[in-house]
Amino acid sequence: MTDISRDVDQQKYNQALEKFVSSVNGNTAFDGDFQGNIKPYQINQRMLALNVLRNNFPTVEKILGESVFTSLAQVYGKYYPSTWWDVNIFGDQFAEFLASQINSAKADAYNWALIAEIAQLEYAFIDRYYYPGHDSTPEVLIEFSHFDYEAQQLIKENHPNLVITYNCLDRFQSTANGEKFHSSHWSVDSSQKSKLKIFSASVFRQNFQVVSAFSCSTANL
Amino acid sequence: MSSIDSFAGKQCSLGVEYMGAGLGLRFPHIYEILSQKPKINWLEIHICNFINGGLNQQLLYELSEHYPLSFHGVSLNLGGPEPIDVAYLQRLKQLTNELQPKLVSEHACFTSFDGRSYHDLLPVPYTQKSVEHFCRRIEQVQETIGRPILIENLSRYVQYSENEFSEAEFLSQLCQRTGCGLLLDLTNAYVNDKNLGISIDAFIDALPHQFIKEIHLAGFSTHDEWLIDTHSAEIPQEIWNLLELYLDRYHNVSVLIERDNNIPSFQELYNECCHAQSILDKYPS
Repeated sequence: MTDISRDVDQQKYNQALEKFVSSVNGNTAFDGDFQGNIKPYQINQRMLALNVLRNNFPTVEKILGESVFTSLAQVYGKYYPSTWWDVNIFGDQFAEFLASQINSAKADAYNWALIAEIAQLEYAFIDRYYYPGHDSTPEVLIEFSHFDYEAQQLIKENHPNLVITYNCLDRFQSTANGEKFHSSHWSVDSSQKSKLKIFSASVFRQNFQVVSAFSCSTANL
Repeated sequence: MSSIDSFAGKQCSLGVEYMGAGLGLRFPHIYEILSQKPKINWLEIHICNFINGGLNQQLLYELSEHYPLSFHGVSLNLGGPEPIDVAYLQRLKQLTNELQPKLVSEHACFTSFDGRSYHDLLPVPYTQKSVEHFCRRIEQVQETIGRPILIENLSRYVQYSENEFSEAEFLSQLCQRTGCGLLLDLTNAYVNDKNLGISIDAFIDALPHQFIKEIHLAGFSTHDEWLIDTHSAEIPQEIWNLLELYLDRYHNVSVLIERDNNIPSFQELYNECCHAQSILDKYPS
């Protein structure tokens, strides 16, 4: 077989796949090129964005309600399709997408800035859980600046996978004993008691439980 | 060397041991398994969920200290036209070297096209070109990770008009030319029989059985008279019957229980795993 005929065959192969995904995406009719039923693939695509976003942003869904969340998830899935093989981390722009709803017809229906902040934190947990390059240590720490205390409380009440504990006293005790904390563990801006400067999520393998420890100011204890 | 000689030579290189019945590990059960360490012959993990690092990978290392593992992939995009993701492949190699899974498997499908990931197992046409395309990429994977992989048959809802081979002929050629093994998903074959009229008997008869090193069993759902391979229900009796029919003729194949949706308690899946082992025990090894 010559190189040219190989190229032609490869083109035909690619075109066959292209026709298939075009049908899945609803861009072209499912016609005589195929036999069978394209709907299961189309339904999978519609449900994919919703299911993954629902898994990754449970607090956001709780606040918005199923109907609004579903609509937003489907719009997000259409305009921000997944481009990486790891489905677990789908939704990296969901917080920005939610923040932009301030320009939508529902601008006044929700506090979009707060919801976007919650989405940012929920995604930080996903990112930390799956993202490459993190050390294989028993404890995982997340840095998170400018995090709203109200958002923190909403996650504490609604997120099904995080057990949130306040460990300020331990932190202060250690400081009093002269131990130096790494800045990624602990920082409080006393001038803004409602704001956390650093979010610390600790995951302890030996407890077989995901534990997230929010650092907080004394005013929040 | 004739194709038959080559076929035999490749067969020897597979070297996969029989492991009995195993269980597909799912997130809700990880901590229960780690804390109680139930007796399970082996665990199959969706390697894509663990390959990146983070806490999830720490848990995988811990599991590997207690259970033999099988790495099952859904993201290599073996049928896709874009180059295989080298970073993914390198991480697969690293984890394979470090954790020494008993099996590494993937699907005869494509999952990504033109920069978009579909996160679905999409079918390809079965043509001479697709055989060559798959063979080249399977060889790339096998050379990188340093061992043969298993390729799984698909549940399909669509057939291409371009098809030149049956799926069984297509899979057989992959084995013959690359030395890869087969992962026979009996539920997928059953679903294809009911939906597309592809005889499951003819399909199984046409497979090279010496290359089949694992069987998958799962439940399915029904939508508009189509069987959908949702892995969302317990394994129905007709699938258990198929397993018995298969084992009547062919022995020493490890069997895996899969559930990906409507995930029940660990105990329920464990019971299915024990049931599979009791069937395997009826046949001589």
